[in-house]
Amino acid sequence: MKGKKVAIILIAFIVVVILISPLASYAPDGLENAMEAFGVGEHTIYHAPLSYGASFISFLVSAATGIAITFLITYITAKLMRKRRV
Amino acid sequence: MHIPDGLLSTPAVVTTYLISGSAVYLAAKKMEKEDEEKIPLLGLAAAAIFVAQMVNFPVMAGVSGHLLGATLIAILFGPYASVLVMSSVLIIQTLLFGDGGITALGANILNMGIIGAFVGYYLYKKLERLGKVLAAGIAGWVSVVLGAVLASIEVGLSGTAPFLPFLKLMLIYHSAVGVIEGVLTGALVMLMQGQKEEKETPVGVKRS
Repeated sequence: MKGKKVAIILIAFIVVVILISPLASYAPDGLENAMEAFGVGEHTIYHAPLSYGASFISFLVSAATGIAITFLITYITAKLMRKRRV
Repeated sequence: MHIPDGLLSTPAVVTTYLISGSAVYLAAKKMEKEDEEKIPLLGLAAAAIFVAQMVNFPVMAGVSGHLLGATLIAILFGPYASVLVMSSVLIIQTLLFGDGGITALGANILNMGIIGAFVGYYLYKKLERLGKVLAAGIAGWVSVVLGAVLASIEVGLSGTAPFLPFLKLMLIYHSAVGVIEGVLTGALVMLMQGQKEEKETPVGVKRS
């Protein structure tokens, strides 16, 4: 597995997902449907500062923010966890 | 399949946090031996999983689903790296975007990260003789269905919904979601690794 090839495919995958995002389904997912069927509701105890956005532009902003933060957090965590080989 | 707040009882919350916390700690310890050049790829993989989980695809009338990705990342980078990637994604989704409950974070890491990483990875290894793409597809499907079973057990044990009827619905929906997961996992493994025998052994995994 070549790192460069994997990186290119992952970047292409991100671009494709963003491009097809206007076709996304807004129907509830499997868990939400099952919860609804049994009259189970969520009880929010924490209000997150961001959302995924309702329009394509707000989706793009959320995606860009999420991608940057997820990349950085994972990169920094993995880097910190790794001990330098002697 | 992100469990929100209010579905799990305190014992379920504590148990799932303990299991996931231990798995994340173990994964972090294994990262000590990770190759330096793979670290940016893990960040990129986490970003790809994050964005993939933002987009739901229709699976049947009135029901949608999204990619989990834990098995895919485990096949590419190993199960411990996958646990780390999935934990990062799920923590950011919960804390910044409110996708999944804060009390259910342990359960979500367990259902969508750890199960897919370990069961998916070892099932893929067992089935690899069938061909990488088919093995990855089956492992991806199983990871979604097992995650749904585990979520149902957690909700059932919490007394929030009747276990067997809830499980039945979850299995119906997630068997369909799993097909898309399987197809995408197989396709991406084919693109990234091809059908050739992979000589590399992921971090923390003994070569058999």
